[in-house]
Amino acid sequence: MYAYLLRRILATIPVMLVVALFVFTLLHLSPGDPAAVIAGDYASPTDIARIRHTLGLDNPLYVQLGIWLWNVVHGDLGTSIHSGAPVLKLLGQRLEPTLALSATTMGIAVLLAVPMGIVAAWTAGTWIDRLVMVFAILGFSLPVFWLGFLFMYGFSIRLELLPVQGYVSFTQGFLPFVRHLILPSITLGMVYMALITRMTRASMLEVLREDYIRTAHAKGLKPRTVLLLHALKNASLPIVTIIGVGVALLIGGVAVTESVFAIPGLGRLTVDAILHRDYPVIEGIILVFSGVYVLINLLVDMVYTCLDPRIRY
Amino acid sequence: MCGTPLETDAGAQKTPNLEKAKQLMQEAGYDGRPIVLMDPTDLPYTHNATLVTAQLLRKIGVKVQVQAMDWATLLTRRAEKKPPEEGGWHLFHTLWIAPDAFNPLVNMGVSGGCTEKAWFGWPCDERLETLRRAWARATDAAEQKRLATELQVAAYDSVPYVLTGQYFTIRAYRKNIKGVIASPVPFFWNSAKE
Repeated sequence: MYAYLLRRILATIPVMLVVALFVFTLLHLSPGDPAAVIAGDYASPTDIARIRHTLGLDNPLYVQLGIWLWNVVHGDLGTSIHSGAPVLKLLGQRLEPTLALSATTMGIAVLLAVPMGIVAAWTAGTWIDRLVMVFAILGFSLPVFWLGFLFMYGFSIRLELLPVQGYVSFTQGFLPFVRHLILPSITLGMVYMALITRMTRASMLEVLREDYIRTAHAKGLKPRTVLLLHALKNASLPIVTIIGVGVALLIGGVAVTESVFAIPGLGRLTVDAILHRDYPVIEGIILVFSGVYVLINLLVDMVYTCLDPRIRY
Repeated sequence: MCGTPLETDAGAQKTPNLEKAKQLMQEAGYDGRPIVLMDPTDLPYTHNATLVTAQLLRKIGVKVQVQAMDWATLLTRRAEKKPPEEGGWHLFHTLWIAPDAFNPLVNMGVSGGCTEKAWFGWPCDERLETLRRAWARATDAAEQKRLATELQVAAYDSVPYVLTGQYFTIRAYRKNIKGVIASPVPFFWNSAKE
C-alpha cells in the first residue's frame, strides 16, 4: 500500500510537468503582449521592447521555459509581471478565501445532495423523486453567474439579509465569515448538488435491486438500517468518485463565483492574471491546481480502500 | 474637454445625421469591403460602445466585421500597421481620463505626426502639428485658448479620432474613511479608516 502511495505521489511529477509545458506554450503563443499592457497607451515601440527585454520576454521560448522550470524546481514560481510581487506570496495571500469557499461549497453540496439522492432512490417513481430530478436538471442548466446575480439581487439588495459581495476572514469573526460565504457557496454548490444527487440516486437504485437488499428486508431490518448501512455503503463508490470529480471541477467554478462576489481568491487572481497576461502568475496557479487535482484523485482512490475492503493496491 | 479652461464646442457636429453620413461614405468611394472593428469584450465601456458603433455603421450601409477579443490582445493588434486582411484593423474604441486629453500637448489623439509620432491610426496632418507646437510655445492664456479652438476645428475636419462623448464616474466611500484624495484614477495613499 505504501509503495503504491509513493508511486502515485511520484507519478504527479510527470503529470505536472506535462501540464506546465502545455500551459507555458499555450500562453506564449496566444495573442497579447504583457509588455504592451504594462507600457500603457502612450508607449512607443522602443518602450515596449525595453520592457520585454527587462522581463526576459525577448528570449527564445525554450530559454524562457528552461529558466522557469529551473526556478520551479528550486521552489521559486517567479515574480508577477503586473504587481512585482513573488508569485508564491500572491498565491499564499489568495489561498484562504478559495479554500474557505471550496470547503463550504462541497460541504453544503454533499450534506444536501446525498440525502436528496437517497430519498429520490427510496421513493423512485413518486412525485418526490420527480421533484428532486427537476431540481437536479435546473442545477445543471442554470449558469452559475446568473444564479449568483439572482441571489445577490434577492437576498442582498431586496431583502438585505446577506452581504452583496466580499470576503471576511475567519480571524475577523465567525459570523461575518459565514454570512459572506453563504450566497457564493450556495451559488457555486448548485451544480455540484445536482451532480451528486443524480449519481447518488442512480447508484442507490442499482444497489436497491440487489438480492442482499431483499434478504436484509426479509430478515426484518428497519428500512433506515437497510438504506444507510447496507445500500448506501455499497453505493458509495461512484458517489465518492463524483465528489472527487466535483472537487476538481471546483477549480474552474471558483473563478466565476469569485468574480461575481468579489472574493479575493485564487480564481479571481487567475482571471486577473489572464487579462493582464501575467504569465508567471498563470503558470504558478495552473501548476498548483494540477498538483491539487492529482492529489485529490489519489485521495479518492485511498477512500475506496476504506469503503470496499476488496480493493487493495 | 467640458469643464476645463480650454473648453469649446467649435467645429463639433451637435446632431447626428445618418443620411448625410451614408452619402459621405458613398462620396468617399466606399467599395463595400468589411470594416474591421475590434471589440474588447472584457471592458464594459468600450465593448458596449463598439456594439453601438457597429449598428450605426450598418445603418449607413457599411459592412462591419466585429472581432471580439480581450483588451490585452487589442493592445498588441492595434500596433499592427498592416491591412486588416493581414492582421491589421480599421476601428477600435478606447477611453482616456481627463489628464490624458485636456490640452493639445497631452492629447496624443490630435497628433498628426504620421507613422513616427502620431497615436495608433497614425494620421498625417501638418496643420495639427503646427497648431500643437504653437500652443506649446504660447505664453498667454487667451492665445492658448484661441489656438486650442483652432486646433479643435482642424481636428473635426481632419478627424484623427472620433470623440464619442465624455462622462463622469461616481465615487463613493464611507464617512469613516478619511484622507481620500480626489483623482482621475483611484488610489489609497493618504487614506485611513477611523
